[in-house]
Amino acid sequence: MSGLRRFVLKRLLLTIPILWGVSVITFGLVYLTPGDPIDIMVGLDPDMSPTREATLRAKHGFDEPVWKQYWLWISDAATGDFGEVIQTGRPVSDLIIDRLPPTIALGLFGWVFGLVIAIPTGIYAAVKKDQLGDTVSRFIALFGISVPNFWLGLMLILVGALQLGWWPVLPPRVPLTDPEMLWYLVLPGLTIGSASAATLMRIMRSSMAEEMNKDYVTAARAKGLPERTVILKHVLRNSLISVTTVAAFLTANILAGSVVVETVFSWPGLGREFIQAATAREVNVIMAITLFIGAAIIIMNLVADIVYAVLDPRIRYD
Amino acid sequence: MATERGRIQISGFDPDRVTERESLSDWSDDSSTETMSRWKRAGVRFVHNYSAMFGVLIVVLMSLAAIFARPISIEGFTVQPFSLAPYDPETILYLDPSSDVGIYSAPTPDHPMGTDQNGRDLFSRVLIGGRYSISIGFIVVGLTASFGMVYGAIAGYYGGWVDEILMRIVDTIFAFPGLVLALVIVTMLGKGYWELILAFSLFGWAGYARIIRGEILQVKQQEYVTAAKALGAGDFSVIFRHIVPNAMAPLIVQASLSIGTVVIGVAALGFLGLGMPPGTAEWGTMLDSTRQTLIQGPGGSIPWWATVYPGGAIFLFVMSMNMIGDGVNDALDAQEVGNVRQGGG
Amino acid sequence: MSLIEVEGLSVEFYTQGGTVTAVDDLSYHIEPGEKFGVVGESGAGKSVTALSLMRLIDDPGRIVSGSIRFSDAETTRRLEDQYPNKTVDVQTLRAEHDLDEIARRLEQQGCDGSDLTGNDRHFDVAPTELPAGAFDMQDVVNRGHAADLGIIEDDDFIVHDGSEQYLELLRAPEAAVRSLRGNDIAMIFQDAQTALNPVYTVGEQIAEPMRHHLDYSDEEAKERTIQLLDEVGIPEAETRYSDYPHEFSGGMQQRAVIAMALSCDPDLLIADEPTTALDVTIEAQILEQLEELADEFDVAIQLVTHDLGVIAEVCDRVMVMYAGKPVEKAPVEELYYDPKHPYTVGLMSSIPRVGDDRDRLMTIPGTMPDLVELPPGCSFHPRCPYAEESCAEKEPALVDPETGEVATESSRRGAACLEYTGDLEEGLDYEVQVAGEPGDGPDPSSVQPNGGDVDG
Repeated sequence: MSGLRRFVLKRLLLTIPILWGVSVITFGLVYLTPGDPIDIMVGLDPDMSPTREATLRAKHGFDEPVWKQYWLWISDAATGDFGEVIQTGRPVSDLIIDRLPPTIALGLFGWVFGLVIAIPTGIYAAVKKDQLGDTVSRFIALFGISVPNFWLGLMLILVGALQLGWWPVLPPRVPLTDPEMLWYLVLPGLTIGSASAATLMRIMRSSMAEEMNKDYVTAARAKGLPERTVILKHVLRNSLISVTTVAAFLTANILAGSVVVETVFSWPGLGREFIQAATAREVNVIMAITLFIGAAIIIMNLVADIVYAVLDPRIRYD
Repeated sequence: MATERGRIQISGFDPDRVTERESLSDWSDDSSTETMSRWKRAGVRFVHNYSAMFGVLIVVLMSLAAIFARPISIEGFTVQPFSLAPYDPETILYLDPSSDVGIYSAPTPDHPMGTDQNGRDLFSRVLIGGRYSISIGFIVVGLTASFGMVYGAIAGYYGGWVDEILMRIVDTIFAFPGLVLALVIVTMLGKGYWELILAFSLFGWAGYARIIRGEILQVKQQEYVTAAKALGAGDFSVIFRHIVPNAMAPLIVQASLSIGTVVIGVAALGFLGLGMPPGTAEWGTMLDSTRQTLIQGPGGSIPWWATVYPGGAIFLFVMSMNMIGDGVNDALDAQEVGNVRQGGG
Repeated sequence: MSLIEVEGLSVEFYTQGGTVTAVDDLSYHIEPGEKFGVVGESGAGKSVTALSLMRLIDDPGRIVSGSIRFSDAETTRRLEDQYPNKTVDVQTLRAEHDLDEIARRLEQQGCDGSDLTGNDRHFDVAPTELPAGAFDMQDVVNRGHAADLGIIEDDDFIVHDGSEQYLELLRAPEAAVRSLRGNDIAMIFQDAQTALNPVYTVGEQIAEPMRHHLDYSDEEAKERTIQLLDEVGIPEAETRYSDYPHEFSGGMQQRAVIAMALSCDPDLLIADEPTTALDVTIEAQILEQLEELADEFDVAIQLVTHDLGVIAEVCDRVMVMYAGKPVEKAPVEELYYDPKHPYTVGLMSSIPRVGDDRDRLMTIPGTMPDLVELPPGCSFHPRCPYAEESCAEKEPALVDPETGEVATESSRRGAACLEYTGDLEEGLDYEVQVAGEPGDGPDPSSVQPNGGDVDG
């Protein structure tokens, strides 16, 4: 297993420059555009005195040279300090801690939904390749990757909440730990997970189909193993290897989806906060959440790579 | 046992007799499959793919509708005079005293998709609504694919530290979902058509760069590339005359699948109120305002048409685009038939 | 009766380009413990034949007709216990049904004599006109007519005839065939690297069929696996047990695959190009090992290869295939010293040899034809130096080269060339020279192809 440990270490070292790059992109995007948040505040309050304006700028460090501003921001961020919400003065880190659990709950639900639907359907479609069942599941997958999630969310509200009345239109204000929340997670979870499920199913199908053409499958059949064992033991394990490579991509999908889906369902998570911050040009919040998303995806990538190495004995000895 | 056997030598089996004699029958070796170029073969396969052709039909129809729904003029000069949409998408119909529609009027034969929150004809708006998303989709894919191709070609061809640095940048971009980056960009730049194009182009090339680089690393090994280099071809000529054309197939597949992604992205930003200015007849922006009607909840009539039709238009377009993408993928990727798994060796 | 009898096997593949008959009306048999070689270029249908024996032909391929009979007393008993209602007793059928009556009914269905006897001589002869004794109840059962006429069930696959007993593999249910695969009939694949699953250890993959077929416990299977690894010549078998395939060299991978095939002590081993992917020194080692193990385990081998040298090394009898059909069958020594078919001659003359004094290698011109559209007449005629006009018109049958009579399974030799039915005007004018015994000086004695009196 020392090979595996070395692999993980190497991978960890590789993430450092990427994390740095992520912070640069985040900072660069927000700061290299004209205007700063103070300009907005001035816009909202034309009576503000130039002195007050300058004080505010100095307070938030907007009058420093760019590199210094970056340094100030990143060194604070490293300690978990993302500054304040400019208009309310509330620490951004507070806000994030507050908004994170609903997003995680929604993302997990979407993830699990995606896996539960996609893996069996993908296997089924690959085994029944070019038969009716395959055609039907491929069509459903095409539907899943083509339907815009915001529209799917709106349609689910239209049908599930307004026509059938099974769900409230807006999620109730109950604590996340309340088991009832599982029910309220269904519509947003379906919405956020459908695209991932469809993508995953297509990848599962094509990688299973590709693996099934390999010699070791004929060899396993020639051993007299039942088709079930051939598929579930020999083929599945190999195709899961290629599926892990897209796991991180799917996490990115779900995080991006949360921005839209939380807005559709007024879900009190990070995504909706992000949109509200974007509308109000709350740079500190935008930067913190952007950085958070980037870091989350990098970590998921790392996890996926490690799972990959565990699943595929060949990679450990590279 | 083999060692006990004497050496056997055959004489009199003269292959020249075969090559020199007249053919004994009109059967010939290569009668069935003449050599068709890879692209031509892919083209034939694509045309025979019904779902891909259906996708092409829908995309063409929707694009034509978007173009010809209302006249287009550039700097006061009308370049497209046709006007297929029954109503002006910006006209608030109930202001006209002769009109019998109000806000959120249900579909009638005269207004097949009803009217929106400002009493504008939804059918006309849906027809023209593709103008922004579709054109942005094509422009963004054109820009990003070209840039990504050059970027990936350079990284893959030169390798070493150039590749290392260039690909770390790509890795970094991949740490963000494209939509999130686009969202931050439009937040900072403001709403608008060119802003959206920039938002999706600025980082959208990374995927193409990665694909092309991977292909190039493979193609680079091929002998004809070594040969071209040995003959003294310059780097530029080796990359763009010998390597890139052979690495194009996956790029084209990716591009055809990306148009749909960009269209959804543009519509999503529109829906989030960050795309086009409010009131613009753009599919996503149209949906933004209807969300309010749903949230008000049951009680009173729900103007479902305001949600169903604009979103349905996005869905139809994106699905058609994906069918085309899948068709392109199948056409370019599929194994050659004819030499099925038969025989050993 | 032989261990395996293949009769009239045809396999088709359905492709966009048309229907490919990969194997066309093929018959052969293998005796218990015999080493039988199948040789030909790529596309000759060798591998398809191999896979057909295990009924592993996958979409888009299908076995369209024929009979594959596997005869092993122990195996038959085992399956009889599992499928007590699937047994046919031919003697009982003889007592219950009249052969003349059966012939009449088959005639009404449009069968001709060769459908019933499997002999081309009876082509276009009505079943009722056949000479007495030309067919027996066993033929009626083996060629599927008994099932067609409803005398037996479609899936009655266990056949008894006095002391003879065999399984009809093409009528057996999938589960029954599965219990034979890897157990009674095992396979060695061409490329061991791809035949081993990369994500499981070598040991696990060898132990798997034993746990499945022989109900071994994990420990028993592991113990036996280590023993097998040792027997196939893998050093430090115990530690190698938990290695992954990529940690094995190519030769060791092939040894592991051989161990896997031998694990359940099969009666028949199908080796599909077992050494093609290896370099020459390893090839020799593996072949030698294979031969030793075959004797030790008392297993029959069907060795599929494109390399006549490999056949010479290992086999007792050879079948040469071209375009899905057998073109020559012979005991191995006779094939080498006295090849009868021009294709065999071509294959032999294209083997490079050290010390060859010819200016250049006489290879067979052209390539194997596309099986979708075969040349008319003899499939080999476009590549044959001796072809004449008649070759493009008439398809040669596999005949006994001595007599020109249609070869049957009991014939010692067979060759499918018009020469032996007297349809060639010029004849075949190749010569086989034997350059003495090794170590002796050159003592070329030339042998005429039609002499047929050369022993090894």
